[in-house]
Amino acid sequence: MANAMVALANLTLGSAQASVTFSSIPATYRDLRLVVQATTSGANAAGFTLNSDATNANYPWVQVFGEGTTAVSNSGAGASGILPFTPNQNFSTTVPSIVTLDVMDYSVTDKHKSMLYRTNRADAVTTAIAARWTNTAAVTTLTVSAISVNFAIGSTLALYGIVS
Amino acid sequence: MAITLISTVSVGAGGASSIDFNSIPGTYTDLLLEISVRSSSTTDSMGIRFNSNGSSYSMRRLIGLGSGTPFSDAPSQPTIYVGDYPGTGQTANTFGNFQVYMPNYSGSTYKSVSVDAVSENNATAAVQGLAAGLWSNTSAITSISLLRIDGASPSIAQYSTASLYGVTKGSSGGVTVA
Repeated sequence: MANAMVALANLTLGSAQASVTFSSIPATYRDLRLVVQATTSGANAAGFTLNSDATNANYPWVQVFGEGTTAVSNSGAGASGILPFTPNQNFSTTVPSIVTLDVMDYSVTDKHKSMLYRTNRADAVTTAIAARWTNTAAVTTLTVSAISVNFAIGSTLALYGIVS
Repeated sequence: MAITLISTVSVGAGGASSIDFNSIPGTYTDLLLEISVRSSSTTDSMGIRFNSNGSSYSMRRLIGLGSGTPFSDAPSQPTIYVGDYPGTGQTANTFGNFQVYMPNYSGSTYKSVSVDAVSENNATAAVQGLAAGLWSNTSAITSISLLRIDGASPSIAQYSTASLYGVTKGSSGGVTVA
């Protein structure tokens, strides 16, 4: 395990901003892993895009989640130009959400890009999502965005490459 | 490289009444804990406790039991749930396997935790669990204890293991972020 994960880039927000973009991602690795811990300036959705593709229909997903009362599974597609981290919950101004996202085979050009991710907000929801980007292009840019709000100061985002 | 093994605990003959990691350095960005445990008594639920502090924990869980409808709850406990593990009533030599991710564990904000868990059993009844946990405390995490979810001492069987890793952020490969 020690040599299997390489730190590529990271950012701790010193000022509030609505989006963070990882660019010039090399094709050197097998998979990508994104780790986010964030709060937002208002209660609203947050998510991401690949290669700046904001077409909602290009991001189908299926999820299972629990909000502390019932367990639910459903499916959908992107919304507001992003693939949401938690389709049924907003990010919070006080309780940080954690996202661990894996993009499999991100650099190959013969398949759509499959993704598995977990998003947790301890006062609201635990979520597991399988999603797909319906594009065969290699992923070179990953943008994390909040809708109509900002990620708060102190939010952290880190990108890693997983070696095969 | 981004992942460093900090320590592994392997439970020997006679079992153990807890698994503890102490003097965790603050030099990493995140912590990753991989756990494989079996009970020497009956099946049980395991919880994680930080800095020997038994308060200010909250969580949301999603649990599947191998049959029936999965459920979600938000139990109030002196730990954060990390999974169920088999004991004398389950298939011999099976274990509960859990992964716990703890970002920014040494920072000055509340500590969030992500949990993925499965409990093996060669029968219909087995447990899969997901959990979102929060320790509402701004202290850096310097010690971790694996206990029963209610804070009592568990009966951990021989051959149980837990490995703690440090994850370090960084920059390489020409990737830019802004």
